[in-house]
Amino acid sequence: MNTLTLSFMSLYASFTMATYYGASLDLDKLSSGTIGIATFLVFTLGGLDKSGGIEITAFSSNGLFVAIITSIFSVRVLWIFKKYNIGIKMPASVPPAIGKSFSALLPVLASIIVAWFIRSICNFDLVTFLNTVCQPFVSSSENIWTAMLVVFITLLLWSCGLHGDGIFLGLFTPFGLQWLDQNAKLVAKGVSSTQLPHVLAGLGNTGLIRMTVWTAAVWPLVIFMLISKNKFLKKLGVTAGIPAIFTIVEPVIYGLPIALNPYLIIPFVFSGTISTGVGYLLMSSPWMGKFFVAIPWATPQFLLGPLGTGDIKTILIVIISFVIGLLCYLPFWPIYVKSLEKKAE
Amino acid sequence: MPSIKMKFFDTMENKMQKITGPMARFSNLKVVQAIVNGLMGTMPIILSGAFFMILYVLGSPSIGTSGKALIPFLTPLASNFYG
Repeated sequence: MNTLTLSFMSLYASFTMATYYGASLDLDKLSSGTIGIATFLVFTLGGLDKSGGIEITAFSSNGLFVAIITSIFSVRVLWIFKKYNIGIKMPASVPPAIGKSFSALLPVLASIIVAWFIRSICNFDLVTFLNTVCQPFVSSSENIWTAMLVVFITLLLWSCGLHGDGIFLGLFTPFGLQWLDQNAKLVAKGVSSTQLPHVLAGLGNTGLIRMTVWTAAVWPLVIFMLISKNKFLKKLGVTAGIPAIFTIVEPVIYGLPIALNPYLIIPFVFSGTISTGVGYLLMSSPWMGKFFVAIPWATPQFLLGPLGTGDIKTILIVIISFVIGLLCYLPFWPIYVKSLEKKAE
Repeated sequence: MPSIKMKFFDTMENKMQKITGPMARFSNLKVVQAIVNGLMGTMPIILSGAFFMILYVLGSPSIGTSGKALIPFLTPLASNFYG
């Protein structure tokens, strides 16, 4: 179930994004959606493998950046064809459903040929390419600055309304898994979990960053919303709070919203970044356990540490992150509430 | 004291109003709108997937170091929740 829904996110998104983009450019919605999904598939897959299966890595959040590019490109192709009036025209007597699908034939063909040329003929895979571009940047330096920079960029993307985890953080999953694997091998050899070499093990999906970022950047907001007198905020706090415990933060980020909200972006970005820095320092100290078990990303933060490291002391990181988040939001939240009240008047 | 606090809030508010304009312009770009709305459109699928993910977390014995699931009667279904 999880693989078919969450790990196919880019596939769904390439349809929805193309549909919305097409609608805003006054194009036929269904044609835009289908051209988007077709271009995404051709651009990422490059054919079936020997046993007749397909490679699904690009469908997960790793491929979200590619999905954005392909859906925007393909809808633009559709738009160009409509603007210059190129296409097969059916006589007026033909039912509109058939006429529409025929008029989308040439743009779909053009868009698919471009994608196929890049992917299959030039053998250029953008998803792997993005991963290899990041490789020297990450693998050479697993330190506190990398951790903070990664979180900073991810949160910056979120605050622009883009899915930061999918677009940027997901690119680091291969390294995170590699480090996790090396840690796990050492544990199997009998090394204690506090002496492991990789602090950022599990970067991308699980691990240290998942423990610090949303604890600092989202949980304080949920608490503030719950104790707020404003009816809208209180209701949102209840509905968005439950998924937020399981680190599903989209309802808060898009619902409050944090995205493109000038009052909350500054504490949002900095609380997560600072708490990651502090968390890194704590975890790299010799008396704190490091991650060696892959924990699914929807695990609540206070369980993530004890389960993934086998060290109950890691809960301290979550508590400290939460306090940092509270302190960051404290000066900004009243201003935001005041601006909401002003708007209501 | 309260007057200093109010002054601080007011200057902050003025400063923030300055970024609101360009930010609103950026968010109203058709491309950005399409991406945000499109990602919002996948939300029902993602949230229902996350629901199964939670069940998997509760039911899988391979999570953590104890070798026991948090809710043992979910264990036989755990691989189905994930797969």
